[in-house]
Amino acid sequence: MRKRNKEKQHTVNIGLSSMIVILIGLFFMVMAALAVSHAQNDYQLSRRMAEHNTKYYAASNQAMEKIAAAEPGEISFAIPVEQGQVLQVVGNKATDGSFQTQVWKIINQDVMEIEETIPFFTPKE
Amino acid sequence: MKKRVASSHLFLTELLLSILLLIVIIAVCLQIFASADRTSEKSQELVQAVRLASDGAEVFYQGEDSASFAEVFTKIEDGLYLSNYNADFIKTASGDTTYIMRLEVQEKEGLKQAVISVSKADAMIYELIVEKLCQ
Repeated sequence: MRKRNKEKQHTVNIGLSSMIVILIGLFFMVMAALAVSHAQNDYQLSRRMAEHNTKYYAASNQAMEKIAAAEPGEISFAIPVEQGQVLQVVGNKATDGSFQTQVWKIINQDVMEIEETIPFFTPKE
Repeated sequence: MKKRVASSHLFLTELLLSILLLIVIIAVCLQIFASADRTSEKSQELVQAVRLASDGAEVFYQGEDSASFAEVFTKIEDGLYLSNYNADFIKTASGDTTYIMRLEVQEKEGLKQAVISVSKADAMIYELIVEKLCQ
C-alpha cells in the first residue's frame, strides 16, 4: 500500500503542459483575430468617412461652379452628394458677383437605416 | 526505477515540444498584432489627414489674407502654402515635421481652386479639391 502511494507521488503528469500550451495558443489566436478584425473595421470606417468628405466638397465645388455661371438674382438648387443626400443651396447673387448664402446644408432624403450588425469577419471576394 | 526515468524523459520531451510550439504561436501572433497595429495607425493617419484637409478648406473659404489662414499656413511662394505637423498631428516648426499639409491655389474660370494634400514623407495620405468664388 505504502509502496503504491509512493509510486503515485512520483507519477509525472504527461499531457498537462500540452494542454496549457494549447489553451494559451487559443487565447493568443482569439485575441489576435479580434485585434485584426477591429483594426480592419476601423480602417473601413475611416475610408468611408474620407470618401464622404471628398463627396461633400465635390458637391460644394459643383455648387460654386453653378453659382459662378448663374445670372445675378435669387438662386436655389440642390446637388446630389451621395445616395439619399443632397446639398441644398439658396442665396442671392449680387451684380458684383458676390453671393449671399441663405441655406447651404446637407438634406437627408431617405430614411436612414441604422446598421445593427457587428461584422466580425468579412471574407474578400 | 527504469519506468520512472522513461516517463520523466517523456515529460521533458513534451515540455520541450510545448515550449517550441508556444514560441511559434507567439511569433505568429506577434506578427498579426503588428499588422493590426499598422492598420490602426493607417486609419488614425487617414482620420487626422481628413480633419486637417477639412480645416484647410474652411480657412481657404475665409480667404488667404484672413488671420485664421495665416495661423494655419505659411506662404512659400505665390499660390503655394505649407503647414507642418509632428507625429501627433500638432502644428510645429519645420524641424520636427512628420506630416505636411500643402495648399496650392490656382484660378479657374471665375473660381479659385485649392488643391489641399496631406502627406507623410512624400506618400500622399489624403487630397481634397476645394473651389470658391473669386471676389
